[in-house]
Amino acid sequence: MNDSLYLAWNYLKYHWRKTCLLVLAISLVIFIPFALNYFTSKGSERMRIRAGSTPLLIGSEGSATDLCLSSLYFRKPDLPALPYSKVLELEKEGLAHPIPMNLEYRVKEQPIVGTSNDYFTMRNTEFALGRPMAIIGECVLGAEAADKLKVNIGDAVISSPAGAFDVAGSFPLKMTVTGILKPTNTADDEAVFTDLKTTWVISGKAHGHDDLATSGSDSLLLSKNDSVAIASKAVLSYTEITPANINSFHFHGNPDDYPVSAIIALPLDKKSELMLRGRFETEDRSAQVIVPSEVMERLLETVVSVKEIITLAAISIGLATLVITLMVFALSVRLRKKEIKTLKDIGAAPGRIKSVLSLEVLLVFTLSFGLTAVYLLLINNFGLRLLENFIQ
Amino acid sequence: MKTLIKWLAFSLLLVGSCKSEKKSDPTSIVSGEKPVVYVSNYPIYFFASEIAGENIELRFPAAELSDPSVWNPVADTIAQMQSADLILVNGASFESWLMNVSLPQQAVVNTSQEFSERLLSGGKTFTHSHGDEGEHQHEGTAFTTWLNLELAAKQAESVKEALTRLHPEKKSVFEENYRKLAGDLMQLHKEFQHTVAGKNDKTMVFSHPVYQYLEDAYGIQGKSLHWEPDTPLDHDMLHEIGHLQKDHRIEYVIWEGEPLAENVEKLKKMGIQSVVITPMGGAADQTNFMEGMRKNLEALKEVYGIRE
Repeated sequence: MNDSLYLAWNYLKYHWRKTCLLVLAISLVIFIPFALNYFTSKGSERMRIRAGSTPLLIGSEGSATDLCLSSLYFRKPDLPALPYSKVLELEKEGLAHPIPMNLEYRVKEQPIVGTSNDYFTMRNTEFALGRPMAIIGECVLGAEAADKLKVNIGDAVISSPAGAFDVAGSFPLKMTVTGILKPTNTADDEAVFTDLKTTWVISGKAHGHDDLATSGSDSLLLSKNDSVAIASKAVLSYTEITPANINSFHFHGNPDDYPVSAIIALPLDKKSELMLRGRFETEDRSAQVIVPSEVMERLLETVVSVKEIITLAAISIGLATLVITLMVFALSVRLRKKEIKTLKDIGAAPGRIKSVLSLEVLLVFTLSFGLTAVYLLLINNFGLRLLENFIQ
Repeated sequence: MKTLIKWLAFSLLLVGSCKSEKKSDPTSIVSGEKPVVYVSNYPIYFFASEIAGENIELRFPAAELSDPSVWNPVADTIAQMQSADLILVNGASFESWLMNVSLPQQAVVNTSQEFSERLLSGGKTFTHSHGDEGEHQHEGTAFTTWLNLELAAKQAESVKEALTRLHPEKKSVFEENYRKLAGDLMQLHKEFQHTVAGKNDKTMVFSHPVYQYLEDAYGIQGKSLHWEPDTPLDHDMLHEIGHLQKDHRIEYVIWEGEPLAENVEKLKKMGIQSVVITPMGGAADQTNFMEGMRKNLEALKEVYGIRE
């Protein structure tokens, strides 16, 4: 047996290129269905946990999936914004505690989440450094966001224009970093959290500038009387909120109409949840309330169906590869006729020759399984990070 | 001996590390068994302390200011307020800083919310828009709501309800204290009404436009200026009051605080008396809200020539 193994191993070693190619091909064929299953299972689990920890989401009428994914993973929603009055209504109604979210803006590639500090409590997020935002113009960064933006406590980040053609539409606001969150391996790690009102400052709905009541500059004013001034576009808004200018920040129009992308609603109890859902389904047609776990489950059912098809395809390809591999071995036996004859001539029994050839196949498959195990180990250690990037 | 020293050093290190850990946790709940309640002005502070007494830990961060409506909280103060169990605010535009801070909405109670339809205009204010089509900045309301003692009693009721929601096991104590406080406030309210009723023949000016609720509740009429009690009256100011005296026969200037003696003298020469009616928004020196308002009542009685 040892002699056969010796011969088989040395044959594979001598033809190492062919052996490597075979081992790589077979290991990948075995690995792909496993990897698919791993990614979909872990991904589904992550998405289920994220959705499950968000009791209710309220947004404008439209795609429930869009509302769910944009709110949970901080993507700019395609749905129209809700007025802030909806948040006030929910507070007054007392069935659920509302946490507003404005997801319109970004700092480079990192999404800005305009919300309240209650968001951190809801997600059980812990601070690695610093404290939550206290005044407008302050922000808290997720662990990955702080890393990518290369900032620390006390540093500043600047909001980016909403789009390439939106140079004047939104406001490049310099925000001071007051806190950095511990890593959570969720979309929170990538976000720049700030107060909802700060996002209204970015949008230009709230801003600060020189006092127009005392301004005598004609270039700044279109008209002025004792009680009203009409400012020209020459009036520049402050791009940073400081203790010296914070009191000049003010709101134009009615803040009740200001935009909110979505509202996370935390119902007081099951009865409150049902009452709230009932009210939105029967009375308030301008908005929709969704249960993220239900929406996510429907979405994952589709993903699982796709996964099953892909797995089936992978298994079919695997079987085909296996047949081709066996053919390669069969052909190689024919090509090795002289070698086999030499073995016979020097006294090798037919059984011994069969044993050598079988051990070659066995060794190739063993090496392939070993390599697959290495792949799976790598996936287990680094796959989740890869998966997070993929989901985001 | 060496072992003992090592143990002591280790214990000190352990205590030190525990202390620094506590300090570095910004989101920790305010320690202590009593609920922590923040207030933004003195009337609310007084109502909360009268109703809850020692059952709460009451904090009034703007206590140092004579006029807390101009208070600008720093970020560290707001960070402390975020851990509070309850934040009682006056509302009615008193806390202009409220729009610039991040506080837990469920902890903030606006004590004037219940009578929002009775809020008065802050008077002539300056607003602006950006461009002809731009939306205007919102005008504020007058905020010294407590100067109408009926509204003050309603604010006290809001304080009582918020405290009861926070500390339901002390409901009976809060109810009893509130009843006594509301009784005192309404008694004083009637005395104010009785003092001025049918005697609005006196003409006066107010050093600042902060008496709207006093004027509205008790039928007092007068113009408002923007004078500070500790600023000497200059030529323009005397000219202005001269005009008012000529047009409206002004007899009294109502000051927010004790005016400079030279101001009193200058006005006296013009035949105008100086009277102090404290708005009571800030912490009162050596007195409390009820005593302060009673002093204000006495000042009004002087104006209307009522002697007990």
